[in-house]
Amino acid sequence: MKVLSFVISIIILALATTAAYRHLKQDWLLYRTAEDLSRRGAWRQANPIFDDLVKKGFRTKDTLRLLGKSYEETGDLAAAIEAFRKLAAASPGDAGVELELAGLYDRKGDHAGAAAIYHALLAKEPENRSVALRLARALTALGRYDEAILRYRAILGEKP
Amino acid sequence: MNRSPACLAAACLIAALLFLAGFECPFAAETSGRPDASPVEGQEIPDWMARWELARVLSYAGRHEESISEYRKLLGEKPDLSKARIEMAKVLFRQKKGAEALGALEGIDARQLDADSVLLMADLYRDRKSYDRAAPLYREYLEKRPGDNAARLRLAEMLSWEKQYDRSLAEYRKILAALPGDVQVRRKYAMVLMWAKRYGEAAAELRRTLK
Repeated sequence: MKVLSFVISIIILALATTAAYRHLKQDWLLYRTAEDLSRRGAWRQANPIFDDLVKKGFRTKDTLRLLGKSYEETGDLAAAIEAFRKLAAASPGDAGVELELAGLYDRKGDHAGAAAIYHALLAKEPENRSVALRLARALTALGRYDEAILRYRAILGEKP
Repeated sequence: MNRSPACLAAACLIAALLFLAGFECPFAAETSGRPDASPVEGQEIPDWMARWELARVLSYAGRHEESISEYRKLLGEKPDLSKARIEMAKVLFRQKKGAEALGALEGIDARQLDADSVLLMADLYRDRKSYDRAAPLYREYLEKRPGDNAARLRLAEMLSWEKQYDRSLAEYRKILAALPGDVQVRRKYAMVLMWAKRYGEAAAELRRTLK
């Protein structure tokens, strides 16, 4: 009888804990819902959930990234850039985030913004050909051909 | 056997904890965001691709000789890159190296030529007075872009030089249908009518240009 009471109390405890979790951690549950939607490509439905979460102060890096991604996927590049800028501020030194932000600037046509990021990344990692190529392309888009040519020659290991 | 309920209780407890732990995963993943935050992705950019882009940028910058040199290096490595060959031909044409441009274009499978390249080839043959080769290319181009009156005018002129007056006049009429107020085209049309000995019509057309 004692054992049975113990089992029942444990089950009740587990259920109560779960219920309390669901009540106290609603944001995480919402996050999970939106994350699941985004994984299935339902960015339009995921976006307002991420947006609400961030507005409520739920600003984990993953939330900011997925918010930016959801804006990007739904065609709002300006809002995507804003989200990635917040993410970059929250992730100092994360070159991957910086690259994504620069890519968004490029897509929006702000090649100067993108070039500034590529310059900074190259200063840290001068041998990175991928970043060097992106910088050369951004400079080309800006009409700064001579600088772009120097970058391309450097990528090819040639002297200017 | 007596321990079974205790085991069940322990299992329930572990299950409940695991259930909760499932929700905790995002906390654990919070710090990264990407599986690999390194910017080294795409490091494996082939040289030929960078050289191709360099050749293009050199041409944008008006450094045509250097651009041609890069295109030649690229095509030495990747001779089947028809698009690069076409681009080089265009740069050569801008450099007034028509024969070399034509040579570059002739090495390409005609099915791979875009409309602009077909027109370029037609113009190059026309410049070299190879009218029999230029005419079908102009026609091919004009099938794709019937509204290009400047190209049609070049074909009309060329046909008239070849004394193919009826064909030339037909092209002129198409141009004038699109551009009825173009005095210069109408005068050229009148000239071809005269060469075709259709003096009455030529006079009428010339008169229209004087109103």
